[in-house]
Amino acid sequence: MIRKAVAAGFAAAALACTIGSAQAEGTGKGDLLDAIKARGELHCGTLNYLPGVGFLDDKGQWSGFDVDFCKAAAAAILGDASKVRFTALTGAQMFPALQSGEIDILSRSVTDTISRETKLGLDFIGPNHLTGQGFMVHKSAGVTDVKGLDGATICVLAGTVTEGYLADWFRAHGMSFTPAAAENSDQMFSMYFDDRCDAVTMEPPYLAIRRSRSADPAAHVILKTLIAKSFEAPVILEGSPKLREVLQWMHWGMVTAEELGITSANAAQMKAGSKDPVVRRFLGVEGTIGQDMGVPNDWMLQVVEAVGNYGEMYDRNLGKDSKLGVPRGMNALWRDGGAMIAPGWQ
Amino acid sequence: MTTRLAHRLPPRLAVLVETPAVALVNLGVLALLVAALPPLLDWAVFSAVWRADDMRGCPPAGGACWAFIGDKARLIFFGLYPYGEQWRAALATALLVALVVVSLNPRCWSRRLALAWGLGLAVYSLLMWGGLLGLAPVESAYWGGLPLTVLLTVFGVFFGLILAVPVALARFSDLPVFKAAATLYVELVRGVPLISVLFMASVLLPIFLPDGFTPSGLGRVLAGIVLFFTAYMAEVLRGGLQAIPRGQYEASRSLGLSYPVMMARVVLPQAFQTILPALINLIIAALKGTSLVVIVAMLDLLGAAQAALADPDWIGFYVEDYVFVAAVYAIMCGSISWYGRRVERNLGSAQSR
Repeated sequence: MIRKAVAAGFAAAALACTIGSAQAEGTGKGDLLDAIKARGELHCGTLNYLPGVGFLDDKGQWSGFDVDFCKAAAAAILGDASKVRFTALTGAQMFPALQSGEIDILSRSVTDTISRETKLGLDFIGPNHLTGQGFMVHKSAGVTDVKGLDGATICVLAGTVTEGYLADWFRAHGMSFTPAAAENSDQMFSMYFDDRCDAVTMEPPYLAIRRSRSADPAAHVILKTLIAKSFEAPVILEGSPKLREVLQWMHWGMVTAEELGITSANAAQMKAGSKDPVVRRFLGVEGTIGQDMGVPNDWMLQVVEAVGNYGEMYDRNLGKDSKLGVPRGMNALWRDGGAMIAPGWQ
Repeated sequence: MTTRLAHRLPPRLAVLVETPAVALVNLGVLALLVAALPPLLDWAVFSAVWRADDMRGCPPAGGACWAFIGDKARLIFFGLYPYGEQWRAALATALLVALVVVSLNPRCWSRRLALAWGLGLAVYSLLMWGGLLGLAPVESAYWGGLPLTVLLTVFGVFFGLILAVPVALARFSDLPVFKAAATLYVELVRGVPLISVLFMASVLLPIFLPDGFTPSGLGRVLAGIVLFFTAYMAEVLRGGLQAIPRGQYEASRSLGLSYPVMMARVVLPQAFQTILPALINLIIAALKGTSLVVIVAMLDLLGAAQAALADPDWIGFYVEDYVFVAAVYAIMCGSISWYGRRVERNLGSAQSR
């Protein structure tokens, strides 16, 4: 009796498996933009450990630069910035989560590289955050340039692109180094401040933040040279051209809003009062830009009202309005000497 | 060879200076303690900052910044659970812990306990999920902190124990197919670290399963934990089964009891009593094991504590953070083992009577 029941159970399980795999092969996925609209909720993969980029505040609310991108996307597509379900992902989980459809957008400071874009079947949006890789050294070592780090022990975050760039740069310059890999940035900086490595490598703004929190900030120097540039960008899976178009133009739209002087405070006012045809097209008063893309016509108004223009989003999370106070640098508008530029809104 | 001093001291102190070598080692350890204690106390208490609005209130070279813990306590304890609804998670977790405390005592094993579990789980689900009786719905993706740690531990052990019964019986059985299948499962799971089981459950399962069939992140992780601890529980239970004297099986058979009745009424109750100490050991291991869900970015107690480190208002207070979480874990594990010893003592005196 028991044996029969067990046998039946095994057979049922085997059958369920076959049906399951047949279904998985049968479903051809449409454009994710339609799926998000039908679902009424955006699924966003992000991170919960990088100050100013993706973290949880005292009340467990998601905040940060990468989090705001997803809020903006929800505002653009669904007209409501709160219709996002965030999932924190580790570096190892992030691409499988995208591939399995668990998330629609990965906004987690992922660095855009050619192999990721071509081999993994990904579409990078943006880039919405430009950084580089720098070094901090103990002042007592007397090193003033990266070239002086030959033979040094260097603290680096394991499994990140910084690790790869570091190895590439040293090899290209015929220099040697000993890597001291750390699992997270807290561990990495405690290793550096405990003198277990000669230098630590990361994006310069983060080096500056950590230096300001060290026992003796004057004892550490951040070297001027950057050994790599880094395009950090939100990512989606290839095969959703409509979603890619909306997100790419949303990013450019936020840059354009800063250019046009449209802020979260004055957006509604500008919509009502502006006579500038570009502004009127931008905010959906004239034309059918939004509609043609498959989103509400006032999508950019929703985005700017929810998270502000690009400059507002940067300053609030990373820049002068945050405790981090990272200078805009490369992320300033092109007309201010930065690299943030967007195509015309014609 | 005993020192003269040892004769004059009360016995409790005398052991410390029994021989010159012992006295020397004890003196050395005492000196180390005296040297280490003042700076530790200074850091943790005297120079510590108890109140500050943000990191500017805590000098980098100063003592512990407990103000950080004060500011982040709710996040560490409850993770993503909506701020205004956190009393629900607290209440539900207290209920769950109470149920476990009662269930660990063999004197309370009765039909009424099963009823209490049924009722308790219904109330627990209602409180955690909401959606009924005016409680706002909270998806399982938003559960976190201490409630999540307790949930993963309790349900991991609970389902693990239930599933362990057939596995242990199969391993103990004379039928070769059952025995081989159970042995294969146990050896396979025991040969793999929990991290890889969790990783497979959370990353690979959604890729294998068809769209719409994928359980929530919590469900996947819980399935992984249950799969893992079932194997360990089954081995412990097998030990309990082997400890039952052969005569009891034979006596049951000669009374004409069927296999299920014999197991349910005679063998398993005794086996469970025998394995209680080993079971409590496993519960503590499971409690600490659940912290590995951090690698799949779940915000259990440790995950929420790590997330608390990312606030730009508070950068670099990881020592305070980890000390605090370690203290919480120590209190939890300590209480379990204290309660376990108490139950064992009661059980021992009951059996000797």
